[in-house]
Amino acid sequence: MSESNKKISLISSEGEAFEVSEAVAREFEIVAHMLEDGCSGSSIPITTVDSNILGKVIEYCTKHVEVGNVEGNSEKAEKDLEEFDKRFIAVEMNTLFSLILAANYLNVKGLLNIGCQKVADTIKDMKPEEVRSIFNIENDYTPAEEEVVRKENEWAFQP
Amino acid sequence: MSSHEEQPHQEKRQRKEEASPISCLSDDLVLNCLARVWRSDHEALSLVSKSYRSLVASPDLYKIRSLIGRTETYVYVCLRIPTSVPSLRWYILRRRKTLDASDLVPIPSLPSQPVEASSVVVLDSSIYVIGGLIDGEKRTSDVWSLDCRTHVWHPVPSMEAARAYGAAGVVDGKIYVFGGCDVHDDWIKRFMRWTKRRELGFAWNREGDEYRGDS
Repeated sequence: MSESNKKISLISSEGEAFEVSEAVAREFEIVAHMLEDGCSGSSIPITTVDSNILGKVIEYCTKHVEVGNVEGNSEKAEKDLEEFDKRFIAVEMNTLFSLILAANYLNVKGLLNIGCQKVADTIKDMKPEEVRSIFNIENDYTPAEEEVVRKENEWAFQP
Repeated sequence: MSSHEEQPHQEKRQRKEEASPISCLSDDLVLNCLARVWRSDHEALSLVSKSYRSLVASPDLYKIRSLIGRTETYVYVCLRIPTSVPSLRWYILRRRKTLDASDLVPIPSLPSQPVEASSVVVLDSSIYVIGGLIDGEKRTSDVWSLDCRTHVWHPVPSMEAARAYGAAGVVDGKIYVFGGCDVHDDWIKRFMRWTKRRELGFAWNREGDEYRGDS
């Protein structure tokens, strides 16, 4: 049977339906597996992802499917996609973490990669206190212990 | 999502736990992020908390780094300092970003390292210092390893024989050491293979006598 024009509804945690082409839905590896396992229903509940985030993940997958389908100048397409990724992932921290969680759950590898890379780029120049505050972590070092760790890593301090 | 700073402590805490997706990120996902940060930035991350420190130094982080092609090469330098009692100091050679020059950045040295004639090999993320001469004449069977992730020196089980100027190499994840024993020893018999096993640690095996001291 021809699958190319088949539409699938992805249902967010709030019950909102997002209608997408099967090609886009298959970008979610978790959905691709369901389809391969013979799940023939046209609506698939994504219970752990809310509408806002699900909409964004779909936007990401749609763009990647579109560009993947374009024949010809692949270099330009790649650049275009890179630009898109950069703009797409420039979101505030909470959204970024939600996207990472969703990408991990839905198994969208490309999105997971750019999400984790964005976190890395954000924290790389941060002071320990700033990292604690965005990651919501308690400092469990005593001042003496902190000094020991600082000493151990002194080599990295140098300009 | 609005935040109400005046909420009672308990409620505020609960809201924070529910609202912050980062508290739901599993160690796997945090590792995936941390692995993408350059090593020179890891020190700030080690200072975040104890669990971060262990994540930054974990073998899994280095596995992810090789998977995503984020590996870095560092040159380690060991210098003999010509003081009245000679000593050895370890450094990392770092190229400066702005000038066409390099710096030797000190890292922890090993006070008991023989000042000459040790064999040195690299296996996984560690540098191994094998045998050597103490006080210019006494061979030692001591072996030490420098964990390049944490820059901590660890003692390794000694070899059966004391060696200086031995030949050492790594093949297929195993360290082999030849020769360097006293001339009266039969050096062929003293051929050693050092096997690294995941859970059990290390064991020296002597050819012809499959010695397994660690099980």
